[in-house]
Amino acid sequence: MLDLIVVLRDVWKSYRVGQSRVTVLRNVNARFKRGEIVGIHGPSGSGKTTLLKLIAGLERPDRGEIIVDGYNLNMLDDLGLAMIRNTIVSYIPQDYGLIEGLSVKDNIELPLLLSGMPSDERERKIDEILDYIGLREKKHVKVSRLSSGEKQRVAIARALVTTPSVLLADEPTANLDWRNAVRVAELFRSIRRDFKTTVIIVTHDPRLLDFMDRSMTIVSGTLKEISPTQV
Amino acid sequence: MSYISINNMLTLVTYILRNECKSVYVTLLVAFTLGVLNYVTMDIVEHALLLIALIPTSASIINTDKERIIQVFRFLIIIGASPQLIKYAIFLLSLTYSVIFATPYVIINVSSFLMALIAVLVVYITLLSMYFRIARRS
Repeated sequence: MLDLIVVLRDVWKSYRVGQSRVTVLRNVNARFKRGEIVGIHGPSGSGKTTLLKLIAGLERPDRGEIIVDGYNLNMLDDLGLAMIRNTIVSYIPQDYGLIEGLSVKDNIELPLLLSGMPSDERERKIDEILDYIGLREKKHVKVSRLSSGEKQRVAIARALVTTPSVLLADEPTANLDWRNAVRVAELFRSIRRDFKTTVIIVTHDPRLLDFMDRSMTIVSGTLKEISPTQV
Repeated sequence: MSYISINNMLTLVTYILRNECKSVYVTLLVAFTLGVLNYVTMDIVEHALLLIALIPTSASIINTDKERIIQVFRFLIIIGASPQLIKYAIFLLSLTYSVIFATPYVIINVSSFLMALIAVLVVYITLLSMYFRIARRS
């Protein structure tokens, strides 16, 4: 089993804005170990979300290499990247990325359905994960009827149900009050402990620092290690 | 891994239709009304008018469900649905939309088959272009 789960080597990413190109990430180098929880800080528009999307294989870098659980993402086609997202990396967007019109169960079930899991096994897995996040009683409730804190926990359950090696969360506490934010942060810590999952969290919230093993910041498109006092 | 199985495709389309495309029912009503109109007026000019009406109607149906469909596409991309699976599901979805839309036409007037075919194409191209836009910025 590889100790290093995510490796970024000289990663560059730019976007076209009107007539010009804006470089969001430049010469990003980073290593993430299996089972650690890492916070990535930085102002709005600094490229934090782009970094997560690159690791999730939702975008491709202009230059450089991204290796996830031994797979060089540059070498994979769109189908390969989709399989990585279904089995190795799970991404939780800031707006939870759930289908509001479906029930909690349906939202959690769809990733399992894609992996071809039989229905009785799916049912067992869904119950297990709902017990884990403490939302078993909401199994058949539509997502649109849940509170923000509950939606975030369902999003985590959806991401966790395929037992990924890497969990990527974009501003997971942005829409939550402090009590719910602590609950979600503690859930991430227990996921790291119980599943040995690497959790990479992009956040503005300095209060989450206590829950991280280490923190990094993006300055002028480059990722740097920081101590808690620097945030 | 059964990534592109018929079963997966049908399940996806059922999920989308059941929960995300409420305007299908409205579509059915519009289609039926247009079908009856077509029956009453067999004139070639009327045919042309209906054809012109059909294209924006198909587009506006998609537009009504746009936000919901975008949500579904984003979800599918994030959870790792393969691009092929999504494209086949879109094809099935547009076929379902269009069959609902075009059936009354075809029953009442077989020559309207061309219109039904155009409806399929409009819906398919609209959904596919929506998916590609979302896939690019996901």
